[in-house]
Amino acid sequence: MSAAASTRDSRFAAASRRYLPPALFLAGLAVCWEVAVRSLDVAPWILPAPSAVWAAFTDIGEVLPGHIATTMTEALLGLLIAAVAGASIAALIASMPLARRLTYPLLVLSQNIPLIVLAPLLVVWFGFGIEPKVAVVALIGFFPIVVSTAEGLMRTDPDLVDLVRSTGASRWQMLRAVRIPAAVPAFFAGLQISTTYAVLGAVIGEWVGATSGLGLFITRSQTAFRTDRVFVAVVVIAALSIALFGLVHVIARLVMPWQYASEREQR
Amino acid sequence: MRRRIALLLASGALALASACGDGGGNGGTSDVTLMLNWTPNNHHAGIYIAQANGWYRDAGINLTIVEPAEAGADAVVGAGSADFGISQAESVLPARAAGAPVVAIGTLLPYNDSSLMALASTGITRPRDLAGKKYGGYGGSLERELINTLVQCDGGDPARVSFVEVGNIDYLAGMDQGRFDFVWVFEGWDTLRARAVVGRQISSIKFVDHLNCIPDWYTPVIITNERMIRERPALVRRFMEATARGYRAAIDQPEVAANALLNAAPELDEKLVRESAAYHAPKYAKQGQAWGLQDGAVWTRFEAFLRQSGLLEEEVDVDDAFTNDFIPR
Repeated sequence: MSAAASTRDSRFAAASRRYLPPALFLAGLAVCWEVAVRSLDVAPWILPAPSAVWAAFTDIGEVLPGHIATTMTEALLGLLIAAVAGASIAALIASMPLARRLTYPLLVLSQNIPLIVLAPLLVVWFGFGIEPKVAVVALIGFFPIVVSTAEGLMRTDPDLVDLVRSTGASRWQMLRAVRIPAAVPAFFAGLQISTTYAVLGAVIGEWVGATSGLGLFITRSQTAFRTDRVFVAVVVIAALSIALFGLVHVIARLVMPWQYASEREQR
Repeated sequence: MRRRIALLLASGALALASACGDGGGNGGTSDVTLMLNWTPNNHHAGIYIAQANGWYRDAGINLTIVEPAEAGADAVVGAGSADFGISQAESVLPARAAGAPVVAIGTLLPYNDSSLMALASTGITRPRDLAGKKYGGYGGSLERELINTLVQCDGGDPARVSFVEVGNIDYLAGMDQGRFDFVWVFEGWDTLRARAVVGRQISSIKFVDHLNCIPDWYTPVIITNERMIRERPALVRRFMEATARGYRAAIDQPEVAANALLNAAPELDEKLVRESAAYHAPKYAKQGQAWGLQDGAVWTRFEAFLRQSGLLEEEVDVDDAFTNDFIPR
């Protein structure tokens, strides 16, 4: 019992060692921001103080859940498509050198078309529903997943590949037994990068034209010159991104417990 | 070890298109999209009243109102991605010149409610006072031509007006900081906000007071696509009947207009919406005239002015650019 208690204590200590410094750092930044704005008497439309952002949040908070639900649906659907498409394209690239040479230039090109060029086209192609927003998230999100997963698939331990090949395994068996397990960590590394941008991607997608969502909330706030509300949206977007990132982290742990077990041993 | 690859993200991405496939109507109800020109405001009040009261639904229309961020509705309506849109004459005519088949089917206001607004402390009270002052604008040949014409007409020297492009920033803040002296706004929204909501001493030069110098024009207007008019005229008529009913309600009961707008867009400033509803109630239609009617002479004069200002390179046939056929009388 006392052993269990001390384990709990040490866990608590470890957790506070881990989370306390960033929490204190963030709180310190917020205090600096507040003090700077007040002492320099910065106008609220240039930079609102954290207290003003909080006041705006409590003032307008009730309209946020609807906007958040819209944006998160777009972000999650887009990520899902990015993950499936990204993993599939990565498998193709890793298994066929010709496919790699053919598609890599296109993949890089795909990341260099400005959204202001694409946005009006997305409306024409997909209309004003959820589709163009999901498309933006998926288009931004699939690239890190493809590159990371393909690298993972191709960087499999060559000795292991030789060993399995010597048993007469087919290409598909090789993929399933050796390459895919080896590529899962790389896939999640790519997915985490994509997750970081998913909410922002959905917000950008809403600039195309929307009926609800955080992007629409930002536009409405901007046209009313309510910088404090724009900042509320920025904080909400950041919080949602962190939550989504955490969720992917948890899924990664559940899917590949071995990875985290070996990491702990290494420490 | 665990993370080998760091990647950067570009803001762009390539679309791999797939079919959209948005089904048509069910049980005689048509899905209809209307794209606004800006954030919801009192110009749109009649539409929101009609939507809130189910008048579109009664007309067999399942209306979705979409808000834009940057680009206007002309290209979207011209391409048929939205059935209706809110635009303004100064984009309808260039859009038609570029081949976009958009048509103005009703005006939300019978005359242009624009004005040039300045802090009262600048001493600006009439157009010739603008000489020696700085205009903060969006950049474009129309605003230059308008201001030059106004100043010249009032006996001032237009060459002494300086122009600075500021885009969509807080005009009151910009004027307070001395970055510019006057801006082009809507009298019933921005000037009202500055005067009645923020409580500032404001002077404004209303375009409508200077129609001897500059043309009037229709802004905002409801637009649709030529194909809609050709293939679904009954739908366009039902849409305009419900919309006109909404504007008649906004004329008779400004508080109903304000409530409908605030319910649809709770982010709006309540005081501004209520003040603006009262301001606009007598202005949505000319006395004794049906709401939405447009005058061909207004279009003709404005089209010539656009060509003179360089916004139009070739003549656009105004008879094709607007129609009163769908205004219920």
